Amino acid sequence: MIFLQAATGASSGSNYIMLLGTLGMVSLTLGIVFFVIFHQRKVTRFNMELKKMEEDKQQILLNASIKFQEEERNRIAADLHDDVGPLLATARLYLNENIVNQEPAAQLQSIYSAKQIIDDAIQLIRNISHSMMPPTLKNFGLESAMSDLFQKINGSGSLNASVRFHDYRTRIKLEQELHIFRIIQELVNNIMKHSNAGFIHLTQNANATHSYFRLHHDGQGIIQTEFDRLNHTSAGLGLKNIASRVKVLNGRILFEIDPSHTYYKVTIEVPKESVY
Amino acid sequence: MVLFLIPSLYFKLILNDRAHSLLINRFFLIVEFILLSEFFACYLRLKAKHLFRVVSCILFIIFSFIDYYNAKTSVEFSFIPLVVECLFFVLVIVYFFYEKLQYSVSTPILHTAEFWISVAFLLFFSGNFFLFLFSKSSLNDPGFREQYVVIYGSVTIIKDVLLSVAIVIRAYLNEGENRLGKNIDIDLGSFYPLNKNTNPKPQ
Repeated sequence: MIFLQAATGASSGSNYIMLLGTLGMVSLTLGIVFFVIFHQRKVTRFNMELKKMEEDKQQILLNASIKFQEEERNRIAADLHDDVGPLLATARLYLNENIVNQEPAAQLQSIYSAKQIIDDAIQLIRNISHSMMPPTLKNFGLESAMSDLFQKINGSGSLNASVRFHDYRTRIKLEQELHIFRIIQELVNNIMKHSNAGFIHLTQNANATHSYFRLHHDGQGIIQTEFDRLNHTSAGLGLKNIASRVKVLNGRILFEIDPSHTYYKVTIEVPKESVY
Repeated sequence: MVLFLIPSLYFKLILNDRAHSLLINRFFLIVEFILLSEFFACYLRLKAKHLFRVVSCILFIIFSFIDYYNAKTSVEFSFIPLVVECLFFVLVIVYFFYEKLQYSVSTPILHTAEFWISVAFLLFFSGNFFLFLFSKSSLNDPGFREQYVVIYGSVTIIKDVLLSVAIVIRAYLNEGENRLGKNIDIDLGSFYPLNKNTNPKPQ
């Protein structure tokens, strides 16, 4: 109002132009300021949502990891309790106090039976131990461990499995090898369980900075979008475990289908010097 | 400000020496330009900001003195350097906001003192731009002079209020930083850093 009064008092038309120009400039300034404030709020809100989503994903992965560990412990506990425990108890029965009162032939028989049972128990414990850390992997490396695994699969006769390592002259850290082994083991298990594949082929390649492991199979597989979707749901514990192992390795995993739709590919990219 | 105001009033009102009064006004304008340039250079992310600041200050100083030599013999006061200053800082502040939009920061923009200072000067310069632009031709018009007083006074008050807000926010932020920066006297016990890598080496 005061501006208009001042303008009314002014006789010249340029005063109106000046007044309108000033009002225009001030309006424009206020517009810019409000735009900046609201835009920043929008960006902040978006960033917060993104952060929350990332935290949720981490939480899912963490839960999956804990659940996986618990399942593994339960399996080991069950193996020890159900298999090793009864065997040792039976061996103890054979070697009870009455053995000294028995005939020498019966004594020998009891000792022999107890020895057999203890051997079985040793074998069982060895199997449990090998499932936790394959000795071939520890002693001879990933290439040998993978060949061993694929030979066993091949030996079962249900699947044609083959391995080819093209560039694995120097071994990477044992922890990295174990993670890669577990990832491939999980993938192979999934393929055997769900895909109804006729063959699995694993190839390894490397460049100066990264190692690449690629699994081919001709069964029913999944593609990247499905893998991402399963990773964000409570289902797919094994896939979450794969995702968390890949994250630990600072690597990437890619699920693809061949353009001809004849086979699926899973590629794992791992940096040669992973940061721990 | 007092350093410039007293000699300016002395020359203009007591000695009626327009040329020296204008010269002191120009010095004030140059100092204002340099200080504001320095302020915005601190907050801009532009790579060549220091070169840009130095070049713009030198150009402005040269332009102000050329204008002074042209205007000192004239009867009317020259507002052209003021218009140039307004335009320059409006553009700089708009660019400053553009950078703020580009780089998302965790602190809300309203919680930063530099934002309020920028808004204060943006309103001041944009509000006065047309005023200074038309001043030379219309300053003798009583209606225009009335408008000049109202507009200049209003934007100056708004600018001062916003600068006060900036000071309050700055003080509030400093208080928060001091509160956070206080030493916490808790015995954390002995701390041994973890070994870099305790994992067994591969065979």
